[in-house]
Amino acid sequence: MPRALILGAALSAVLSVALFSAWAAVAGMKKDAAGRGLYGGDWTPNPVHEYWDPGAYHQPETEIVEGRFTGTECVECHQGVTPGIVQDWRTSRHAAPGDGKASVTCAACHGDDHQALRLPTPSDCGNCHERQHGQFLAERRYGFPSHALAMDRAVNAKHFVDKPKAEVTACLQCHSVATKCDSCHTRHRFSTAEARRPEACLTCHSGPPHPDDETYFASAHGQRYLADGSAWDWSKSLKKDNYPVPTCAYCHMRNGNHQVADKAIWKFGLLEVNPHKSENKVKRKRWIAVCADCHKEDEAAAWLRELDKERQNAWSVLDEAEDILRSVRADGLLYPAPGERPLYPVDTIEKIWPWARIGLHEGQASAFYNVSSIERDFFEMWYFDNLGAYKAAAHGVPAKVLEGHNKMDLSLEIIRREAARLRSLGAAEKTKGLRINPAPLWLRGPYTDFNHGRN
Amino acid sequence: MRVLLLLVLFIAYPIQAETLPPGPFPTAECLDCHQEKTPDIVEAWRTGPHRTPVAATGCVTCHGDLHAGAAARARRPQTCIGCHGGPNAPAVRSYSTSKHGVIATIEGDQYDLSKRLADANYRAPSCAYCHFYDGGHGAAMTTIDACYDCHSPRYANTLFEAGRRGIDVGLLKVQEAEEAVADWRRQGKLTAQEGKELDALLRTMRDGPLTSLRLGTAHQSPDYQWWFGQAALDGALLRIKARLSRIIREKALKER
Repeated sequence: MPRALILGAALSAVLSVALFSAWAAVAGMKKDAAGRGLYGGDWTPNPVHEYWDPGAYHQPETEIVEGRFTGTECVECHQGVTPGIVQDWRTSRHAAPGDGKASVTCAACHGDDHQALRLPTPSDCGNCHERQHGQFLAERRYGFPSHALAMDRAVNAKHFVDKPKAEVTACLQCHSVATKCDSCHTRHRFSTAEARRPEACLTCHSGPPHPDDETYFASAHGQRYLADGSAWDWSKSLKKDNYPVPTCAYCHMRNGNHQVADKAIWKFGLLEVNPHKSENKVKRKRWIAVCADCHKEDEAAAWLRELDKERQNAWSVLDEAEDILRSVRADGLLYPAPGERPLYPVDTIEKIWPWARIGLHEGQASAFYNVSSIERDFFEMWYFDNLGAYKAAAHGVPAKVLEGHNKMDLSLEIIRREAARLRSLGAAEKTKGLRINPAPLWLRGPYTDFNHGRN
Repeated sequence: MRVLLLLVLFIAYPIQAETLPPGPFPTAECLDCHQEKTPDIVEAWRTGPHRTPVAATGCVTCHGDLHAGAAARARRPQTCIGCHGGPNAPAVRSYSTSKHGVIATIEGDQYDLSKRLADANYRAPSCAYCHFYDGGHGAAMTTIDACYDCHSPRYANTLFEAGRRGIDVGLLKVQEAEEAVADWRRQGKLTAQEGKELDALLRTMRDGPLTSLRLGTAHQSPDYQWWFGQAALDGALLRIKARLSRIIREKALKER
């Protein structure tokens, strides 16, 4: 064994121990807390999970303060301890609901026993906000993409199960939109006006796979919002004539409907769909009804047809790239080959018969690490270039649609060239009866070793 | 006694305000006077990271050169982002897409910038609230005390620990790439040109996604932690391995 490998193994062992002891040193999580979802048995949560999925993991504080308190008492003490929270609550509707209603104090959501305090879940909020909670839950029936199913989506992803939980924590910051309500109306003001602003969405709806912020702000709608939006009356509901141009929430949560999935025809641009099947005809009518608040219906219908066309073009390029990858795999030219790279811990069958996941229907969403560069190129083409183009088309930014499609064309050329290289290298190696085993490079290393079995 | 003190302050304040020289001052003159008036701030600045990154910068870069409104001017995020890369730079965007940044974008124009950077005087923290907490101009540029104004110590500490562990994982990825390159180099498998190329890839990995991961963690931006951070590090790592693989395959073919 080369010295570098021994040194690497030793270093990563030391780091593993250090990381693990830091994990154990943080209190707050039940000692026997287990993962949840399809592969719950294969992973254990990180201490911070209690804040992203409080219903499943939050443990009350039992060491600092004892006793039961009224809302007034909570406020008196926390004014000094955490003044920001109290200040927020004081300016919230919870503090002064109006109409002679009693104020909603700390105990209503957290309980009054300081040793058994809870972090509220959507169903806690639903005790009062029944309509909104009901709408939120009802969106589950439309499947992905969905706010209500977001946590399931995260924890049921193979890469979430496989990777160190310390690494995939950031996933849950967004996917916790399913398990708590303050993603959009932040605590402790819980302002509806805040949640109506496009910025309320962009913490999660930004970045390479979902540049909703960039594309909306670049659109005619978004430009108008940026120019005048701060002067609009955001206390108004999301109804016709209340806003000069639509915002994220106006179209996706029209009339304050707390579900975002009942119009999802193209499924985030992730999957190839038939936009004309009966279910999608119903959804299309719903979209046209939204646009018709300001535009002519036939214009709206024409724009949606443009989007159909854009998707068709995107998929023809993506399919071409996928075909190239499949043929490379069929000819055994992937380097490293499926058996020469780390497997997911949940893939029991693949342990016997290693199989590279290529293309969307084989779980490409997870194939962005521990794979060869041509597979990563395909992942980026599908997940970044394609989704960027889709979002631009959906939000009405032709220049960015073009940009996305140009990127896809370029990615296709890169994939084609890489496939040709793999072919010529493979052919030359075959002639000379030579193949260098890539496994040591791909199956070892400080990160790969650390990740191994630490789920 | 306390009443007397307040009375003295009440009377003294307007006199002091009136006698404040209006400026304009260059940084050297600010320092001459503040060396005596606020020696802690001057000392902290002298030993901190803002000390003369460019010869012509100093107090006036952030505060302007007039006394009136000098503190408030430096508290606006716009003051910082010019030097820190502009609105689309990772340092800035990782903040502006965080929940703190979002709230500050929506409500920032209503903030009373004359208030101290402490006691949760602002609904969401700005750059200055955390990095100049309570007026500190120090070398560390940040303190977890700022978090406790709004969050419980348990929450802040748990997130801090989680962030540190996440960054440690990112560092392991960089280390994996560095060791692989070093190993190849030690075994004489790299030409000088290939070595240069791989060093550039390593540098890009550290300066790009690793920096994004750090910024995303510190500013609590999911995207900078994940897509621009961890997932981008995965891509950089596998591409360095792919480059090494190609080099060794081509070399072996040539030698056979």
